[in-house]
Amino acid sequence: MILVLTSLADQDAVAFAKEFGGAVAISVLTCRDLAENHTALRYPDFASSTLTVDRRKIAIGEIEGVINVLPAVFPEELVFFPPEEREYQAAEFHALLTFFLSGLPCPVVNRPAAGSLSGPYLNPIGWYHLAQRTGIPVSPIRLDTENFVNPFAASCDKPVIAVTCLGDRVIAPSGTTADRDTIALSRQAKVDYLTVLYTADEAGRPQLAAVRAIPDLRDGVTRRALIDYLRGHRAA
Amino acid sequence: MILLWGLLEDPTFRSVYDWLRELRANVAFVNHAAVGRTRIGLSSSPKLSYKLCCERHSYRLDTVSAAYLRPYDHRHYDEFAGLGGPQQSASHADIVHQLMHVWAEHADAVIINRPSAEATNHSKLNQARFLRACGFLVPDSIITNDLSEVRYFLSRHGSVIYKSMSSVRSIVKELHACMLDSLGNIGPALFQQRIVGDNLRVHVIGEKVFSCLVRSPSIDYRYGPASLETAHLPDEITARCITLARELGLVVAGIDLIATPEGKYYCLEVNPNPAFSFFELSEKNDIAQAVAQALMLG
Repeated sequence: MILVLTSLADQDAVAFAKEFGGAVAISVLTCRDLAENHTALRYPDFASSTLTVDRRKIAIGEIEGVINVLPAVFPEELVFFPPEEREYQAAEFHALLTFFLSGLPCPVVNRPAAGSLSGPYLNPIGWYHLAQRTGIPVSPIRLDTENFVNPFAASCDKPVIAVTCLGDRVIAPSGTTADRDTIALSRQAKVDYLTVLYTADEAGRPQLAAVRAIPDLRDGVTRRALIDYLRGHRAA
Repeated sequence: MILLWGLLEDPTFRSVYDWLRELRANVAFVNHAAVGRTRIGLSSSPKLSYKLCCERHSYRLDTVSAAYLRPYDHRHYDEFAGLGGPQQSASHADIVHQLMHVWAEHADAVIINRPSAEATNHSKLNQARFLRACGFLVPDSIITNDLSEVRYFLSRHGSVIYKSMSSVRSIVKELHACMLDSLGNIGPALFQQRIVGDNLRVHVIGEKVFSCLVRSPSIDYRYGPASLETAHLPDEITARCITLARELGLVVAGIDLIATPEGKYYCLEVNPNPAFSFFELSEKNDIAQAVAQALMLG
């Protein structure tokens, strides 16, 4: 079974599960599902853990892959808890999901890291640091907490190249050095999926402008690639 | 230059500050209570560099050799909260925090502790994987909202505690079977086999280890009467603590152990930002001195 871990209001995930539901066992999982249906995650005996998916109790071993489009648990998401409990419960669910996703033996796109549920960084500047350390040019940014203007909002408006990689393979190539750089960045970040937006410098060379570590389920190429990737792991 | 970001009213932070002054270190103290008046600038060319300004002082963060960061929840004392709209003032402090966070993660300096290392405590059971990999025993645990699972877990272990599974502070309490009948629906919660034995708090600073035996009748000694005395750990356990802190990426760690009467050592969790002043057994504040010395090596 493939799980799509997402937020309550994510209709793209529901549509994705519906699109491929005839070909593979695929279900959407939210924090509400984990809270309102029986969940039992054990340690050290993690393999004996169970959760409820589509009203059926499943063992951890039945999960063949996870597509994770939930970078963090926000209190606002947890409408099924009283308002005064939501901030505490958000931290608790973050802890639960970190434990759950980190321990799964199947592929998780993407697996949590210390910084976020979907990879190493929530903050875009973290990706800039990693890119510079990897030798990837970054587009110039400047910011000041006085008169703060989000520099990433501006750079995302004018990308000239978008490259997506999944499992060491570029699924939407650009035919430029950005393809190689995107793979290098995903390896450094130890994530399976990455979309990197680049702008061009004065000589037309790509410079990293923004990074998305959450699979874009509105994109048909990405949807197909995700299913093939997880099926490929199952076959292997 | 050694950067200190915290509150001088915090005894742990203050003890490190005092030792650094005693050791005549070049210290830049940035008052965390002034986060609303703290300004950070960032430029990406030729490489990412940060400049921090606070209370008439200005620091280039790439000149920092080491930093001790002990920020609090700024919402509790942000003096600008509520002025000009709560959203606006909160976002300024939030951005300062985020920039300090990202700087600390990537700085070429000794950082006590890097955010990614601190975050290993944000999921106690995920951290338990590290504890076990380093050779410690860990209590049998379950995260569940299924009361029949809780009953079975309790009958299996006889004595069970419950606590938060995140780094949010909670009081550790014992679970009794009679409590389950009145619980109703619960969200997933962490239940753990209760380990009975001597509570030990071990502070690791690099290769230095300070062990403390905590005697208390309470399950959670932080919320009951407690007395402290020096503990002597077997060499093997001391070495394991040093390895664990290193594996977690922590320069300073507060490790909670329980030594059972049978001589087994369970590790409960590792606190990545320990309030070690509570555990100082010498009047000289030896732990703080070791932290100050670790910063001076940066």
